[in-house]
Amino acid sequence: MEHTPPPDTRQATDSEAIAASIGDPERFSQVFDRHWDEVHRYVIRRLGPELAEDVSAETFVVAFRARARYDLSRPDARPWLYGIATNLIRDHRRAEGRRQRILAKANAEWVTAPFDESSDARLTAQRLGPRIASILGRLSAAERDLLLLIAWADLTYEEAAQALDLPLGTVRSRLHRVRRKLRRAFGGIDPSRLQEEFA
Amino acid sequence: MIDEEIALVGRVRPEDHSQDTGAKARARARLQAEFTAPSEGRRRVARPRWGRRFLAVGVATAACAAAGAVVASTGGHKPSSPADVTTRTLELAAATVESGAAVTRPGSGQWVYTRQMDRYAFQNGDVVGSKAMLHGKVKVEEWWRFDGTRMASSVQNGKLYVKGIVPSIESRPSRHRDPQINGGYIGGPGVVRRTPNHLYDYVAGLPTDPKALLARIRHDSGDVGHDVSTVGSIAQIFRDDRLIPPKANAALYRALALIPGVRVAKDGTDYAGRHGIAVIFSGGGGGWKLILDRRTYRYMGSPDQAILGSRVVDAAGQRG
Repeated sequence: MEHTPPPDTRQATDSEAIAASIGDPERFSQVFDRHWDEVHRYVIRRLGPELAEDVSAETFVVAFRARARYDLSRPDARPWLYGIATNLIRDHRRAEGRRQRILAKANAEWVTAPFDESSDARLTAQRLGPRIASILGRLSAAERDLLLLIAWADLTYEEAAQALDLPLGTVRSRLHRVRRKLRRAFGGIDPSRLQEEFA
Repeated sequence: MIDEEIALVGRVRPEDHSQDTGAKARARARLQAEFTAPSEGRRRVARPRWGRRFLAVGVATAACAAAGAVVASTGGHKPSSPADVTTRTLELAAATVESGAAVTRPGSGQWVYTRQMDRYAFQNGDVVGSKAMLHGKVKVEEWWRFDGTRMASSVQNGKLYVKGIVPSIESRPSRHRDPQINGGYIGGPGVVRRTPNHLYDYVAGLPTDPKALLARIRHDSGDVGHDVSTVGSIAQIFRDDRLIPPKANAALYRALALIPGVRVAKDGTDYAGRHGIAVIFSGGGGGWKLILDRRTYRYMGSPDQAILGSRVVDAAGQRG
């Protein structure tokens, strides 16, 4: 193969920048510069601006440290970054759940529901209002992660499959289930019950 | 094909706040700090604390290896160009490893043990977030069951954790924690494709003609023309595969010699501070560096990792 002229590194694909960053860490800046806004925006949607800053920053740090394991046959790093962000969001919620349980022990009256779920519901409700929160609350964490990568991060099915390390077939069947649940939920909401749940 | 219900959820996405540029700058600074994380240049020369003698990485077939380093100009008349030195050194390296002992495919129940020193490693056990990552001269021992169903590791001489390997993160039992961070399972295509059986079969099945091999790797790595991914894929093979057959190893060295931008330097150090020959690729604006043993021309490691020893054993936790 011929010598290629020195490439304009700003044009390099993510996989090239990641490969290059093994020897020259600075090259990873390109991945950050290219995707920070988008990933951060998504994490804000999921967690709100206060928590999002830390989780988004951690996403890129984890990505950087794990870069040697990046699958270089994937030129676009977005699915990978979203996958890491999704894991950190889940972690964050588990940690939040644990924190709440400790608080709850200190103040028994405070507790009304299992906290992993309720903290998730509470965060979502603050951001979205009870209606959509209750709808998302009917999905499992795995279903919610998948749905929101598509609906809020605008990933394609293929990209979401990569982000979550799932076969495309699983993504399709899981979305099929999600759609059924959503259809039921959008159809039959009883506002009075929601008030009780989220007031 | 986003359908109605999903589109509806899309429309109720939370309103976008104007993004705080301070957040971006802070995140960038945090990432930047990683770039300059422990560089071996400033540290004292590594002398691993665990006193055991390293296992030899493969059989020393010093055969014809001119015990020197990089092949210098042969006749002594005209100085060799750097390209000549690279080609000749990699050819000598190829010829040396080629005559090495044959590698046999392990049984499916055997384990491939590797002892290495890493710049970063995830801790085992129930630790999450930033606490889960150890930095700087981390001793990692890994056992990968040859059939790719399990792996085990011990970090910093800690407890042996045996983990299941699952095809995707989602297919692990739900009560286990995130396998990227810790827990009883690891998985995903990136891991599954690099289990010893897959790697062995892939590498042993590569063409041994250097040009055909290079074409194959360029294709498999999805290289877009700068050879960054190609060299990266070759480096990953050396990093992950402890059972490269001699002929494949030789062909990989010869293929490297064909890649524009690959050169050889007579001295380089792996992450443990051991000196060897450096095979350097600086195309595409960045680079890879492989360190080869001066005598055996076997792969020793890279500036981020040192392979201290490896062998095939019969059980997880067995070292020799």
